[in-house]
Amino acid sequence: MAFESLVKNYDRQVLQLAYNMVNNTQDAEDIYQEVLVRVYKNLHRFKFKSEFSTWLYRVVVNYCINFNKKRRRLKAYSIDREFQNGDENWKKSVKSEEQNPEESFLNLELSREIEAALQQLSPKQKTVFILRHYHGHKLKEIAEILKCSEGTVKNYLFRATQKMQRQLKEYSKI
Amino acid sequence: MKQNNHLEKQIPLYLYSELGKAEKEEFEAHLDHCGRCREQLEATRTLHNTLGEKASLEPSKSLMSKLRSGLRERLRDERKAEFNESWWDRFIEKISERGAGIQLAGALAFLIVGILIGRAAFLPANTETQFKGEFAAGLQEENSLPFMASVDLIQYDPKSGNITVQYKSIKDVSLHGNVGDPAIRKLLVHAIRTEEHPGRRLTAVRASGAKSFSDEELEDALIYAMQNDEIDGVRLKAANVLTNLPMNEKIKRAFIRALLKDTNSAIRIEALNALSGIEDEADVRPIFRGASQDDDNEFVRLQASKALERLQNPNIKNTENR
Repeated sequence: MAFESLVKNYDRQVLQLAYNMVNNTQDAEDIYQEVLVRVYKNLHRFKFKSEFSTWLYRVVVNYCINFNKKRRRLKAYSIDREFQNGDENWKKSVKSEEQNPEESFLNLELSREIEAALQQLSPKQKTVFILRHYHGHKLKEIAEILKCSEGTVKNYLFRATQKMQRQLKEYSKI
Repeated sequence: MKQNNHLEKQIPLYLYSELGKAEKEEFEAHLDHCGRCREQLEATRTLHNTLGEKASLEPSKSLMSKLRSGLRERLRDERKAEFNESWWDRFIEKISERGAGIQLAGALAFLIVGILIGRAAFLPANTETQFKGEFAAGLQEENSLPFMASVDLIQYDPKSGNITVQYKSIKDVSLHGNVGDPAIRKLLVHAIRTEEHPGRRLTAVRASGAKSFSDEELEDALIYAMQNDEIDGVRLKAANVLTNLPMNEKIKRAFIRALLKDTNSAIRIEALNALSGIEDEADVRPIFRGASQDDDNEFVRLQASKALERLQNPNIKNTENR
């Protein structure tokens, strides 16, 4: 089917973005399906005013922001999400070579701190930071995804960077 | 200073190669004579290195295959549903795609048709009695059973004719008391942590401070609210209530975190004031020093400097009103 062929070009990025936004592999997999079905059902509303990928990522981002809002209410007692490293369907990619147990523990600890720092950002700051830093999107594209000006995106990025720096000060001694 | 702030904002853009040629040259020229920006640039570079150490998860090929297969099945169901969609559903979908004017006209048309049908269909005589009787019967039923939320199980034994129904019920309950009552405190904890409406969360936090209490769960809930509530007013009120509780290690840590991390300067001031009163200064001295140098807000920096001064010279009293 044409839609499936179209989606194949972007679905890995959709899944990865969903994971980075919600920090949970199971939720990311659910969001993957929900978002793509939503895109399929609303394909007739795509007016070709932007790139398809821009529209697609906008749907993912908005869905994830709402998802996180709902989750914050429902799971009020669980402040920190468990960093999952036991799911064999998701490969762990680390820059360092084979890690010893101590390095592995420290890496996990750092990852938790990074995730906690990301949680402190506002939804828009976090989205801009993830799209720029982890997904490599240009600011102009991020502005199109979020339907705001490039200046606003630059502000979000600046504030997010400042906050992350403050949060991770004691870890940033590499 | 204004120009410096302007170029500080260029730092992440520079590192992400988002600056145009002229902007990049201007920024690099500025770096030659601005130590602060060079320092900030290094700090941001270090942050990027730190973030690079984070282990990220990537979906495997088998997972992508499984997800695509699941998606194909779901899309097949969607297409079947579209094919079987009734004319009514298609009509409603078409209307909803139109502008607000058409939708309003459609709604008014349905309302008028409904009224006309109602006038024609309802019998003028005996109507009131009939409905009164049904309403009264309904009221009788409502009074004897709490409101039913869902049926979980129905068992029927054809031999005996016995029926067992298991259902969930919702019943409105009104409880009166004060923060001294354990039941009230439990409800306040629940409201602070889970209530969707921010106004109610604020009221719950405010009510917690009505008089002194000793309840670890409520204390934890207030700490949670101060650190995590998305509404500044709720976090500020929680900080305010916690200030009036006896300071312990947990509350102290929470205030330290608020001073370092909260985005709202009023809350950081509240935390600063709360920490200024403690006797064990070893933990807070470096925090105050940091706040006096790094906080975004000038007033917070000023207050932190004053608090630091008072730590260093206990003879200086805190004469400011809270």
